Amino acid sequence: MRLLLLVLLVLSAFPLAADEAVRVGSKKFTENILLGEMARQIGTAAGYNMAYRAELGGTRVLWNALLAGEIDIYPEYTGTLQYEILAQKRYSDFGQVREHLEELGLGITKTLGFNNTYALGILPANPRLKNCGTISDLSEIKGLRFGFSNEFLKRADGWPALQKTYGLRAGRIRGMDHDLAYRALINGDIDVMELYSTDAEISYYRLKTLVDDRGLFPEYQAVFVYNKAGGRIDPGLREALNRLAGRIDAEIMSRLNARVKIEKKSPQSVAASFLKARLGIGEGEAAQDSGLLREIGQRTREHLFLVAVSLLAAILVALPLGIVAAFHKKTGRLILSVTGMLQTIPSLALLVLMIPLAGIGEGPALIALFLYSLLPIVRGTHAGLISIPSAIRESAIVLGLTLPWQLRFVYLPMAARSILSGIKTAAVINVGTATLGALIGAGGYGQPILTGIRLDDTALILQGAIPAALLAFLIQALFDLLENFIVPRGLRK
Amino acid sequence: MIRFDKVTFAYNDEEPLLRDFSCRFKAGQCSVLIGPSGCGKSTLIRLVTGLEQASAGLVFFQDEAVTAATIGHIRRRLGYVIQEGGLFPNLTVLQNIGLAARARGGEAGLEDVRRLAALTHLNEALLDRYPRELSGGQRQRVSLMRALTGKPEVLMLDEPLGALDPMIRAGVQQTLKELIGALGLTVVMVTHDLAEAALFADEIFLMHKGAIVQQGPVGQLLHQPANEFVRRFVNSQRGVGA
Repeated sequence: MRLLLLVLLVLSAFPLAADEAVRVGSKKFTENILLGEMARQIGTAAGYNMAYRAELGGTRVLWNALLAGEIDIYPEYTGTLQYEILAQKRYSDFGQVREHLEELGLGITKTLGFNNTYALGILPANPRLKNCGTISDLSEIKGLRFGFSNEFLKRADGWPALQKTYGLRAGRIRGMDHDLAYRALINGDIDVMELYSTDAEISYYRLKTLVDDRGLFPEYQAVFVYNKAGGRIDPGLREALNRLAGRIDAEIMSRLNARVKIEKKSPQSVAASFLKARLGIGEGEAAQDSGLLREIGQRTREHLFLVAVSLLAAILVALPLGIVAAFHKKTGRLILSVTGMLQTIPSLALLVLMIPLAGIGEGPALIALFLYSLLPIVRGTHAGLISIPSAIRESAIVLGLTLPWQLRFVYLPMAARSILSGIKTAAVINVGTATLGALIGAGGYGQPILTGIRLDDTALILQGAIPAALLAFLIQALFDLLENFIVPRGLRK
Repeated sequence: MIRFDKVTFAYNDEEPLLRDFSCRFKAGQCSVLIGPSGCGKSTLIRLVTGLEQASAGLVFFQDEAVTAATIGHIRRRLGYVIQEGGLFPNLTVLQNIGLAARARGGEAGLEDVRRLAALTHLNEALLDRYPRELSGGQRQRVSLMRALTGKPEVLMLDEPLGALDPMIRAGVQQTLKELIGALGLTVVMVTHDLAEAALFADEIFLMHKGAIVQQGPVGQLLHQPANEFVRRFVNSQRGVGA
């Protein structure tokens, strides 16, 4: 217990995010991350204190975070605003969208200069699709295998619109990560995927883009959308950001994407050299990639923070719950089944469910990890206590020990091994589950794993996976060591 | 000293084990409860120690009824030893005694513990051991020490020597007999062994199905059995010495 407190104190000495900074967010694909990075660097160069929460998730996550004031600004596309986010309003004119945003207290910058629309892509070498040139051609072919991002599958302007407009029927349809879909397409596991027209992979893999012959996909002009509340995006910053207006055409964007995705340059350096060369902003390459050790150190701090805080909170709650469960049978059944049910919620679902309740970042991740830690600790405490022989309980009672004394001097020491092993289980599970925290902006070892998947960069994936595995081992060893101090000598084998 | 007045008691939803049960254990003497398993002899001790509650009738400790309000006070005046010993395995002998003393509102200094060890013939070298490092006989001697902490007036012994093998058992019996005499304790003991009952009892209570079938000194049970059940019970145990 004292040790955990210490860990907590040490961690709290490293502030994870500045408070008064302008918070830039981005979706979890390269182009959006690059644009977010540009916004950050432009702001910094203009003298603003900028914080960047990159790769937060899909459109819904970013939009809700912006509305909730969790972030101040992120890169968005006009078509997405009109046909997806505000689809139910059926606005026919973007002016109406602008008014709607105004009512919500939001604003958008001028368009950056390129249209990143949807397209359907195929491998030109695919024999079944030899004569396909338009999306309409696909409707002739049966048994096609589609691989779409989960967002595209659900979006009003995505797959549902494709089905309606072109009468497409899929033989098999799979939701998958956009970056993994490229690999599936190249490997021949799928026949058709959706593309973003500025994706670097299109030219790199020489993919064939099918003509949208019925004009389904609208314009997706890149803009920044921002929240006016709090006044963090002031006229000066808007002015600075609007220097990007019209400066990035589709070809430039596609090349910038390629430098990150294909050449594996960091978004920071790609954004910096672009801004320096085209707009004379910033120091060019001076925005250095942070060193590997510093990077891992930062991720370790974030990860330990998530694990330690959630675990400590869980111990404080689960220990009393376990005690109550052991001494009061009816309540005990309720406690065990509720904590057991929490455990069955898929971790990804729990994390995403937390967003409307607790926003993005560490908060919801901590809550989710806390909930997951409850069951092992409650169960360990309960099992340890109910296994105490009735002869000992009755002796303690007749000796006249009060319940707090019974617990403190007899029951809890006797149950120490079981309680400790519950805490250990919770801690090890937490280390693994915390990697998912990166999906909602909580950082940690999941961040390099996610980025690694996006960039198809195994080294980067390992940069998160290896420390996570090591940490789990370390925690296991730490608890085995702890057992020697905490389990009373009279009970050790 | 201890009195049952029209006590009715049942475990959970079972048939009542005791129905309108009355009896009295006198101060300054050793009352031994004997009878076949399930006859209710242990239950009587558990009612006095407050581990079970009567559904009707009253149990008196001296002239105080055993209730939720009085039980704490009453427990301080009695020592309780059970077959399994009930020692706290996470604590040494010394710590077991110390915790018992503090539970009873006192302190047990090393001198007090040494005195108790002398009474129960426990080797002082064992005071820093944990229960699992002791033999069965040593453990029961420590249980006795712990029960005697705080100078109780009454010892409630529920088959205290039942788990010991015969040689060891004879030694601990001897110790127990001596210290009861030396301290002038009132004792209520449960056993299923007639020879042990004969060794300790001023008065034997032979129970059957929740009722006392015969009460008196051991000779009376042996020579003037009240009924056929008493005769058969006595005969079944006559094997070697009794």
